[in-house]
Parts: sequence; C-alpha cells; structure tokens
Amino acid sequence: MLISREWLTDFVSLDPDLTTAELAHELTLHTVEVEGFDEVRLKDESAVVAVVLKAIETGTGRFDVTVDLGNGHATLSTRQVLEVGEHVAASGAFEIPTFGESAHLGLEAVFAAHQIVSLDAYGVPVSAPGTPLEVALGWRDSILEIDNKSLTNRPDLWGHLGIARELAAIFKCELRGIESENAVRRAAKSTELIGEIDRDLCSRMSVFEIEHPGPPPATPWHIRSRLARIGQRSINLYADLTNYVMFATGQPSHAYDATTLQLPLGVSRGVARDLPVLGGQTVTAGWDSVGVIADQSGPVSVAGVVGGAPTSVSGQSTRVVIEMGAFNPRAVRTASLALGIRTDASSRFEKGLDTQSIDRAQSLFSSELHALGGLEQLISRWQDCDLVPTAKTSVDTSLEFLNSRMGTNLAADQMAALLRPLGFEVDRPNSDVITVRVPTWRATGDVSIPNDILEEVARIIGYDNLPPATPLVALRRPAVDPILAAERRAREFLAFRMGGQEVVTYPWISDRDLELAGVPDAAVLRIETAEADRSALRPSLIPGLLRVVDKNASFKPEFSVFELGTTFAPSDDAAMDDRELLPTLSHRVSAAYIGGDAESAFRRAVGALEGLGRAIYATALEIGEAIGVPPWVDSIACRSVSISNGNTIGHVGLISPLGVSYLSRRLTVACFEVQLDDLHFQPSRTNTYSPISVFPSIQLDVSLVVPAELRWSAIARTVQEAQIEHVANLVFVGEYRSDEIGPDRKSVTFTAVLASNARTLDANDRAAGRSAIVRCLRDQLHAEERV
Amino acid sequence: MQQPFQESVATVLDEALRELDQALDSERLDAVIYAYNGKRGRFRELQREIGTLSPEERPRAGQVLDEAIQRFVTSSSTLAAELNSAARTTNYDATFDPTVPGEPSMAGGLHPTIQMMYDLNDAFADLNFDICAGPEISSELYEFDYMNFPPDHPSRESMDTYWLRGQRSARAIDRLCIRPHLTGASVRYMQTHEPPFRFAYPGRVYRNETTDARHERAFFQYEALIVDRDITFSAGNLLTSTVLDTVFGRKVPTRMRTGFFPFVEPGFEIDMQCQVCLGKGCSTCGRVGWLEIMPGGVPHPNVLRSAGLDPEEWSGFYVNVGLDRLVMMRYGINDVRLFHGGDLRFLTQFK
Repeated sequence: MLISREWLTDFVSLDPDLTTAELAHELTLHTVEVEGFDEVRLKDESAVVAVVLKAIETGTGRFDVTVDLGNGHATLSTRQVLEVGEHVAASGAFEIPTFGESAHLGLEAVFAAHQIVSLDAYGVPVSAPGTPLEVALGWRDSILEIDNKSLTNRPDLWGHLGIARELAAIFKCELRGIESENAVRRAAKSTELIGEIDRDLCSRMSVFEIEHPGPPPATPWHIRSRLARIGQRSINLYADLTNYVMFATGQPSHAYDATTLQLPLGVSRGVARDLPVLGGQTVTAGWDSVGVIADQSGPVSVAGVVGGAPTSVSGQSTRVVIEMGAFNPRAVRTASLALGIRTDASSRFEKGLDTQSIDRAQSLFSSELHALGGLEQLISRWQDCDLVPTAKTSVDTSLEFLNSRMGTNLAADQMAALLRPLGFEVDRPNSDVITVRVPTWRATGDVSIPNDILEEVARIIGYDNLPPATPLVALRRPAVDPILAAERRAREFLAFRMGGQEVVTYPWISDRDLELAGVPDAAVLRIETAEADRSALRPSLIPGLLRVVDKNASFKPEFSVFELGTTFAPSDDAAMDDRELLPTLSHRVSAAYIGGDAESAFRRAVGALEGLGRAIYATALEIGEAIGVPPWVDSIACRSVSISNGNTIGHVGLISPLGVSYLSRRLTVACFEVQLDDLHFQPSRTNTYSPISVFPSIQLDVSLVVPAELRWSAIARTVQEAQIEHVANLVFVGEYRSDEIGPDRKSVTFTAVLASNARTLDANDRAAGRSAIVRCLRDQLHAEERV
Repeated sequence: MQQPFQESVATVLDEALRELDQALDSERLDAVIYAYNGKRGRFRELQREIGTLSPEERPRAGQVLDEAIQRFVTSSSTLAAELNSAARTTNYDATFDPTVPGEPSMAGGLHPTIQMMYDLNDAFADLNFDICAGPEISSELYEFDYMNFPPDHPSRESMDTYWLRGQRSARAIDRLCIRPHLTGASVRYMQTHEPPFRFAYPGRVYRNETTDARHERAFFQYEALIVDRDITFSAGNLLTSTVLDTVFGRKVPTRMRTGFFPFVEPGFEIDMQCQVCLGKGCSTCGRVGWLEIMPGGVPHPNVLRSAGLDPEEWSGFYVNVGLDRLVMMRYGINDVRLFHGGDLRFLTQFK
C-alpha cells in the first residue's frame, strides 16, 4: 500500500524537520513495516507556472506565444491555441518537463507533444507566474510503501487516516479526524434504494443518490494529483471520489449510473458468472454461489469484491448511486478466491471493517462534494440499513500484568496516555485494574484480550526502548533425544571419517521411484498436489540419492554422498476417535559410494556401515545374510543389517540392474540404507582397554587359491573355529581372479596376526602358524596355497 | 704389542670419525655413538680383544685404545653441541620445496544448512535448552487449531499447505499435512513436559508454492521457545542474539518491531542490520539498512491453553528463523534452490 506524506497532512501535522527516512523508521518500529519510500519530484525542477501575455498566429498553423515567467518574459512557438491570461506550464529554458516514473497523471504525453501546456485545461489550481511547477501540481511529496503483510490484522490502517492516527500517537501530536458533518443524512430518507439484505453477508449498507442537471464536473486537481502519486489512474469524478475516500478512510464504496439500475439494491447469494466487471474482465470462474449485490434484474456487483461494468458510473452519468457496505470478511474472501479476483476493496473488506467506517467515508465524500461548489446539495435521497452495528468492546487488564511482561513500572495514567491517541478510552485509570474501551475500528477481532492491550502499550513505547532483563531460570540438565544425537554422530562419521558429502533431497518422489523402493501403492502416502511426479512421499531415501549420484557423476569419477531424513508410510495402528493417528515416520540414513570397481565400491559401503554402528553408539548392529532384498539392491552383492531381536533394519550392496537403469550412464554404485528408529544406543562411549602386550605380534601374509564361490566369511569363521595357536586375527587383503587360476577358482589374500602374551614369537612360530592355517583351510575348504 | 691391534684401532677410529662427519642430525649422531661406543660397539669389541694380547702388550694397547676413544668422544660431543645449537636452523638444503600443496583431506562435509543447525543447537544447548524435533507429518489440530489460526485462515488452504491425499472433508486430528511450520511441535512438547520450558526444535517444513531463486517448497526453519513465569519481552533479545551471534560470529545490531502471527500476541518482526551495507542502505535491504530476519513473540494465550498452561501464570517468547535464508545471507548465496539441488560443486564448498 502506498501512502502520501502530503495527504497525511490532512489528518496530522508532523514536524517539518522530520525526514521521511525518520518517519519510515519510526512507523516501522511502532506499527507497520515501511518497505521503502520514493521522493516525488518533477525531473525538470526549473519548470514554472507562466501566464500567456500575447498569442499571435504566424499563418502556418502555429502561434508565437509570449508568456510571463515571473522573472521575465519569453516567446515561443506552439500549435496550441492559448488564450491571453491562461496559466501554462513552461520552463526557463523552454525544455519539456517530464514526470517521475510513478506518475499516472496522463500529462506526460501532453508535455512530450507540446512545448507549452495549459494548466487551466487540466484544472490545476491557479498559481502566480514563476511558481515552481511541482508546487502548482502538488508534485512534491514522499510516497511510503507499506508492506501489506504487516497490515493483515489491522483493518483500520488501510487508509491515510489510520496511518495518521498511528503517527499522532508515535510523535505525540494531534490527530485531526474527519468532520462528523455528513450531508448525506440531510437528504430525504428513502425506502426505495435498499431491498433485502442477507445479514450473514452484509452488516450494514448505506446508499445515496446524486442527481446532476448535466454531466458532472471534472475531478478536482488535488484528488487527481493525490491518486496519481499513489499509483491510481483518474477515471471520472465519482469513480475518483470513491477511490479517494477509500484511500483516505479505508472504506470502499461503489458508484453506479442510476439510470442503468432497477432499484432497490439488495445483498444475497447468487451466481456471478458471466458478469462483466470493472477492469475489463468478465467473471469466468465460480459457479458457486457468492455474495452479490443485485438490483431487480440480477447481480450488478460481486459484494465487496468488484463492481459490474454495465451499471458503473461514467463521466456522463447524471444520476449516480453511491453504495457503501460493510461486508462479511469471510464471504468476501471466499468470493474473491472463487472468482480469482482480488481488488483494493476486497483486500480491505477481508480484514473486517467496522460498520461505523461508512459514516467516516460518507462524511468525507460529502465534504469533497461540498468543496466542488456545493454539490452535496444534489444528494436527492439516501437509505441506511445498519443491521449489525459493530459494538464497542472493552478489555479489563491489570497493571501488574502489563508491567511484568514489559519489565516496566508504569502507572495507570501513563498507560492511559499511551493508549488514548490510538482511540482507546481508559476507565479507572488510577486503579490496579484498568478497563480499556476499544474503538470500533479496532473491535472487529483485532483487540479483544489483555495481550492485545499489552501489545498496544509496548509498541507505542517501542520494544527496543523497554528495559533489558536477562531471564532468571532454574538450571537443569537438558534432555537429549537419542535419535537426534545418533543422527548427528552419523552425519559427522560419514562426512569426516568416511569422506562423504551430505545432501538433502525432497521428501516427495515419482511413481517410477516407488518401483525402485519396492513399496506397493497401497503403502504409499501421497499429498494433494497438481504435480503428479511429486505426489508420493518417499518410503526410501535411495531414489533421491541415486538422482544426486546421476547428477554429479559427469564431473566426478569417484565420490560418496549420504543423506539422513524422514521416510513415510501409513500407520500400522488402528484409528481411534479421540487421538491423532499419525503415519509411520522413520529416521533413515543412506549413503552411496561411486567409482572404482564393484568390489572396492562394495567394500567402501560395507566399511562405512561397519563403522557407523560404533560411531552412533548403537548396540548389536549386525551385517549378515541378505533377507528381504529391496529392488534397488543387487540380489547377490547384498547384505542385510539387523539388530539383536533379528529384525532387518537395512541393506547394503551394489545397486541392482533396476537401479542402474535409473542412471544416465553406467556406473558402479554401492549403497546402504538403514533405519535408526529401532536401534538401542549405549548411554556413553564403549571403548575398551586391553593391557599392551610386552611381546610384539607377527603379521603373516597368506595367499590361497580357493573355489570361486567360497566367501570370505567362511574362511574367517573356519580359522577362528580351528583355534590355531597364536592366531589372533585375520585381516582381508583382497581377491584376485585370472585365466591362469581358472574360472572356478580365485585367489584370496589375507594377513594373519599371530600374538602371544607369554613370549616373543620367532621364525618357528611364524612357520607353524602359516602351516596350520593352510592345512586347516585345505582340509575344510579345499584351499591351496598359492606359490 | 702386535702391530695389527694398533692398526685395527686406527681403522675403527677413522671409520667412526668419518661417520660422525656424515651425521647431520641428532638421531644419526646417536646411532653412530651407539655403534662405536655403545655396550656392543666397535670400541668395546677392541677392549675385549686386549685380553687376548700378551701381558706386556696390554698396557700400550689399552693406552692406544683409550686415546682413540677419547678422540671419538671429543668429536662426538663437539658435534652434539653443534647439532643442538640454536644457530642451526635446518637439516635440509635449498632443494626442499616448501610450496608444494598439502595432501588433500579425505574429509567430506555436512550440508551447509545442517552445519548451521548444529552450530545453533550447540549455542542453545549452552543456554540449557533441550534440543528436540517434532513429526514431519502433523494434523490440522496441532498446526492450525492449537496455533490459534482462524478457521478460514488462508494458510489452511491447499494452495499453501500440502495436505495428505484423500482428506478433503476431514478436520482437526483427522486432517493431516506435511508440516507447514515448526510451531505446532511446540505444543506437542509442552503437553508432554513440565514447565518451565526452554527448548529448540529445528527441522524442515513444506509450503505449496512455486519454486524460484527466492522461494522453495521445502526449507529448514530453526525455532526456539522459552516459557516461564514473569518472562519479559527482553527475553527475546537473548534468543535473537544467540542465533545471530552464532551465525555471523559477531554482534549484529537488531531491532524488534510489531508483527502479526496468529500464534503470538504480541507478535514481533525482528530485523537485523544489513550486513552488506552495515545499515547505510543498499539494494539488498531496499535502502532501509535493515533486513527482516525472524518473526517471534509471546505465545498467544490460546496456544498456552492448548498446551495445558494457564496464560495468567505462564508466558514466554518464540523466535523462528528461516535457516536456509540465514545461510544464504551468511555466505551471499543467491539461489535457494541450490540447497536441495544435490550439486556437489555447491555443497562441497562448505567444509
């Protein structure tokens, strides 16, 4: 919303030394956010008002015009016919003045086409020659841009009057309200202007008629100028007056050409479809019933939203009906949404205007008619249906409550002094409990509880002016959520120990992604969205992670990424009437290892998973035989992750052919995904200490040729179960296949660690150990030592 | 005395002195001393050899060997003093290139928003706040009804909130959505804990809107709430400064102004001084010198009642900050879509 500083002077006298920046700052701190401001000036500041002294036709269709510039005379050539004594705009250098970018006066084109322009023809008030043109035009102003979001709860601030009231309170100066004199009420009362009113849609409607003997005059210059400065186009007198009154008071109104109406006007539910409306649109949506204003022939306006075009006033209308209503905010909003039309009027009605706002608007309207030469006398009749007047409300609150929340020690009369300029009345100002009577313009839902009064007092003081106080609290040990702690440890482990980069992907996936996750449609949660490829909430992190892999593989040959996030599934529980039944939300960790050969990618994934359990303090995390393999993982190159109760909580492996088909290039990718929710966590670190042996261990490399299907787990288990003397541990080194070895065999290399707590092992022990290991594996697993 | 013994002594001494010459550091010097004058060193071997000489030869042989040992000890002591001298500053010559790059770190990294979230968690934990999280799917009851949103509030519409499919006619506990904000989780926490409260509950939220460089459907928020008896507005300053000092690493001037949100009364908008122009006014801050950074306010009495608290007795202060936006401001990132884009060229910049 745009606010003119010059317009504000109708209601409040601000210190002329107050800069607009200071004004904007204070208004932002105390009331609404000023997003910025523009200074309105003519680009050509030398332009002045001049008076035509002489105009001589030169015979070529042009005139030599001599003008009085105030400080001298000048002559210039023009095609315009100008009368002696006419006031014109000109500049000392006879350059064409141009307006600021925000101007909508319609004069720019005129100035561009002519070197001299009649001001009288535009109704610009008479000024002495030499008067700066921007002064004569009223084009010296500051326009504040208010953030509409900061006004959503303040129906009273949608006009200059409301903003002026706030400034009066902030700067402690007097507010000049709108004269209560209302010429409309002096006109003849009628019963033929308003018909049936649905009180659910409209709390009050007031209608008056103006009858002109001929076409109405042009819009006065000050109204055109002010509207133009806040970005509004001038249309005709009554359309401009309704806009002017709305931007001054916040109360919208609508002007009809009475000759197009079959009075009376009523408010009811109806279908507005196909109604041509102002702005050149036709209502194309909304078969739903919305609030409409209808005459005897049908809907003529959408109530509180937009007026119909066929019945709207024109510059030639001699009988004009002005309608002002107090429409139900909810109904206006519903209609606005249903029809897809949002207007200055609907924005204001949606906030909840008080019914008394109509009185203020009518007073200003009639006052402007009076200023036009007594046009208020042309108001022929009026009718008012005040069905549900906005009631004044009151709020009782204690000084102790207000002071304790603000950290202040203000007396009741000090509180009252802060509240009164805003329109509040304070009773019992010397008591501990004060009664605050709320003005109607704040009583439509904005101010109703003690906290609202607290806000009013505190914001006028200024939140930054309240005394600082550090809260005193009882010290206690903060609770630690074990899942959150595990997630953090997992992230730090996968990033800082395993070299992975964390990514965050969207929680919604496509139907194709669901195939990869292996979840039937019935077990998928979906959101309401028009975008079909984003409707399913992910049951697995893997599809999103593979998309990240695919995206990055073109510029990184080898990398790893991981994600921790929520996965979604319908609840397993049965619904109960009295409690919220949320779906199953799981915390998962997933990682992908890309590049190298299949074995190394697989080993990186498994290695990360093996370390993860310990890193997050999980108990009994086991990697074992693959069970219930999901579609994303290869059915052979796969292991399952389980916990002590035997439940499978995840998988690790190379991605399946289906997974590979997701990628735009052939990549070696190993992934794991583990659900964290069922894990149990150690309460603290689980490091153990063993005394350091005084005798050094021996490391013994062994290479064996074994059957190709033989798994490392079988080799390790066989040696362990054989309990060979001094063999403490086997460490896998690698596998090797070659034609030389043969298709059914492979070479496996490992390091055996031999140790003793009793003595230093020597060459004989080394030889004995090797011999025992080879013999054990030869006898039980058909292994042969590789020579 | 046998001539060969003297020659042996001379030979060993020559070798020892030559090795001392080649010892350029203390470690090597110690090895040479050990090899020649240690318990099993070459000089000790010669000492044992003296026993094999005739009694007449032994005194002379002993004298020759003592002189040799003495010479070795003197030389090695001199060299040791030299090596330990402060004047000696290097063991290398000019061929060593100290400008070669370091071995690249193997470490990966956390997502920049998560990094910031953990930094803030640490800061609030230092203030004795619980760190917790609410569910990403929640009900209309918790996200709107308990939050004092009017029944016809625009944010309840599908155009703003992602409701779960198939619940068009459902209401309250039966109408579920992926959470549009974190605040609903505050009531869950308060309902299940005993006041007073101090807790932070970061997480990701979802809004049904068109994505562009400044808008995202999914984004992270950080929210903290303090509830106690006689909490004043100034408690908000503590929460605000905790957030901003942590993020920017220095005191950032702020201002608190009035703002409206259904779940707070009074509500605040908290602005921070524009860190691009330091308050002078620039295009980033629309020439006003301030940037809106986080809303906050006192929990509305209806919210406290929903949490089972008496608003006459308890009060508090919320702050909520858009975490992605804060990260963008901290690092000058100009496109919010990068956070969910999974582009490692972006993500790996934040170590």
